[in-house]
Amino acid sequence: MKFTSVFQKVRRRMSAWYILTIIIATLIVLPTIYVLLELGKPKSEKWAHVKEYLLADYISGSLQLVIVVGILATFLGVFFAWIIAAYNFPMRKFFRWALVLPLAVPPYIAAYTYSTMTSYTGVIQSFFRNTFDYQFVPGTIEIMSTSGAIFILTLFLYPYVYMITLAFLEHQSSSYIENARLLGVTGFSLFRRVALPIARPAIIGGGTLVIFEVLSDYGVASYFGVQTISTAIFKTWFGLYDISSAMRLAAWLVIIIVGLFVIERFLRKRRKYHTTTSQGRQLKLQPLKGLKGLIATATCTILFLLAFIIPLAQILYWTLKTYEKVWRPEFVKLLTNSLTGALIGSIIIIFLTILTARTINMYPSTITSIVSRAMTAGFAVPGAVIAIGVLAIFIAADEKILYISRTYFNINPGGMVLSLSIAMLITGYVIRFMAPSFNAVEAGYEKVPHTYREASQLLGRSSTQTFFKVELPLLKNVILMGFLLAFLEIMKELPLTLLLRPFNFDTLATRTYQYAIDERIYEAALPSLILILISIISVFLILKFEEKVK
Amino acid sequence: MFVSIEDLNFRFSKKQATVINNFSMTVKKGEIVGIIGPSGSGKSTLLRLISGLEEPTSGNIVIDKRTIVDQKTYIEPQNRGIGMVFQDYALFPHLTVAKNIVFGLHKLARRDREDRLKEMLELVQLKKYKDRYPHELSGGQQQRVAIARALAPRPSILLLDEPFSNLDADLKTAIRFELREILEKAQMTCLFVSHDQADIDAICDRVYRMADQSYEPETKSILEVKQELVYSK
Repeated sequence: MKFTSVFQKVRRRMSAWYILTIIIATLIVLPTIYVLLELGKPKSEKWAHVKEYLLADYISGSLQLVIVVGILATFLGVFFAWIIAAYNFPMRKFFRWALVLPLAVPPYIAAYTYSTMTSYTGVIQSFFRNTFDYQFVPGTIEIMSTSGAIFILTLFLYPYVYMITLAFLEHQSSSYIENARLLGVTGFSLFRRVALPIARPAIIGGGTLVIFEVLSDYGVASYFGVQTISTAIFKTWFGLYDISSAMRLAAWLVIIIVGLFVIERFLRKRRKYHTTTSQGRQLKLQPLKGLKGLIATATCTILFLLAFIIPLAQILYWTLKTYEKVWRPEFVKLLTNSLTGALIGSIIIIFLTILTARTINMYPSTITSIVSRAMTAGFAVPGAVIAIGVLAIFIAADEKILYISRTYFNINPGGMVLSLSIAMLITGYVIRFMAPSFNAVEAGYEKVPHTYREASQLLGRSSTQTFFKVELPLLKNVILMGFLLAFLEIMKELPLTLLLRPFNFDTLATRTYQYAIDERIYEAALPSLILILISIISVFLILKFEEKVK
Repeated sequence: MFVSIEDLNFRFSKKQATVINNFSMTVKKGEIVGIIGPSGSGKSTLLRLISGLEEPTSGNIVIDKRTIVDQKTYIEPQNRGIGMVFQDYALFPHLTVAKNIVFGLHKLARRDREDRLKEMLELVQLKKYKDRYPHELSGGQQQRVAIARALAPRPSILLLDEPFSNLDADLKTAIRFELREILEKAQMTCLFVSHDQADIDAICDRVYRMADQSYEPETKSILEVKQELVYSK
């Protein structure tokens, strides 16, 4: 009796959806696991060289960036979130969303823009030379350095902290902060004693995102010549042709990230903050009058100029000067390449996302909650790591195909089939960018009451019919949103595309980067501008979506 | 007996205590049987077991001589032919009243479907509202749409899960009366779950009380119920 009932349960749960979901989740984490397995394999000859002369530099380079950028970006993000959430001053409403915009500038584009602007022939030095006849001592502004990378990454990644902290302060803190005000705590002391501690989970969440982005960064570090683990993966791969060592480096990077995850969990678990009661009520703004208000406006203006307007204006200027030269049939090819990759990738992503989010929603259990973690893991794993894992798996699969077709079918496919195709790049995209659209669709599913599905079932509709008749029409906005998020992320993607693209396959992002390292900065402007516009749309959509979900 | 439930047991997981413990009951054809008990006593779970949305750990349920669940059988909810009115009504927000009602009539020919829709709209007196969306209706009207939708495919039995919990207290008396009328007209066998004695008194022929894991059937004649109704007016 007991046995049959267990058997029945297993049979009911083992629907095709369920099995497929587990397979998909496994495939998503497979490259990362494959990379980690490298640690157990014998070391290559070159590894000794890498370890002795380079590894310490790579790790210290990565750590330096992570720690300094992490602290500075968190500071900036929290500071501006507090000013915007708690005070009213001239142009506050504008800055509230404008300060998110730096997120739309891919850091590697900001990197080459700033480095050109501050160079000897750049706009800043020539302005001083021509107007005041002032010559900078060489090396006064040396942006091609670790400090330069820190400056760029901080300026263009702080919005992660800003966005999450602001959302928290605006919607969930009002009762605490208003109570504290009634108790006579105001100004900086209110911030330090109340706002900062209660917003801690949000701040840590935003800071963690910044750190993942820094670890994942390839463009800024390599352009500025900073040694990090991500750039080292490229070097050992393309410089030393040593995939085994590259994988070993990637494995260490994964271990660092897992460590960070554990720390983040620990920081969050120690104190739990449940703020359910005050949800929805906006925090009442304190007016900043006179000089104080002007100072607040000025501070926001400076940040906005530095992190958005100045680089954008410079790129616009360059574009106007060069677009005729760049806008050639070849450029259309770039655009189609980018669009094709993004389109195929995001269609696959949204398909897999719907399938898994639905299963997780229908069968909540320990297994499905692990699956849901696995689906979003790709976002924390740097593009370079996913790329090398995917490449290793594709090469291994190709070897198998070669072997099988030669021995059993006596056919010679004539070399690598899979690892030279665009399938490899698409696989990388899917794994890396599953997270944002999965999160959107899963959140959407959570808002559809279970009773809709049950009612449909009791009215005689099968599970598939229910999906098409009830769930799909209710979720169509969320699904579109998830699709766009993936699409826009893929359009901007750089390191993974550089590593996994087929021969002679260029996208807007890779060509921009190529122009930049070839010092053809002016030509890089047009593709950069297009990428920034695409990102602005994506940021705008995310903001709209978050408002809707609330 | 039209419905017979024997030795039903259920718990959500091995770690949790049993929600339903050796429960047995019978319902005659056309009878309206109430199930009353405090929240957490397993009333709604019982309805979910009958409809197939949950599977019992043991026991069996037979409806109209067909075993729908026992140790060997488990008929999927969509094949049981059971109608249910959910506590929140679960009306599909993207469909109009008419489309909600015909949702379960996908196996009928177009003509038959339209005839049945007309019949149902007449039964619940919502003809004028057929092109409205659920959010454009009052709570009482939504409830009637939910009943019409559940009755449309001619289920063998109708399950009602706390259908009054979303209604204003001052509307309740009138709506109770309406519901009783609709159910009588439709000549439906019904199981009605509520935590409110007044609901049960107004609508049901017979009551099972679920509390402290003991189920004492109380039999009341329809006459008594009617008398009480008159009294309460």
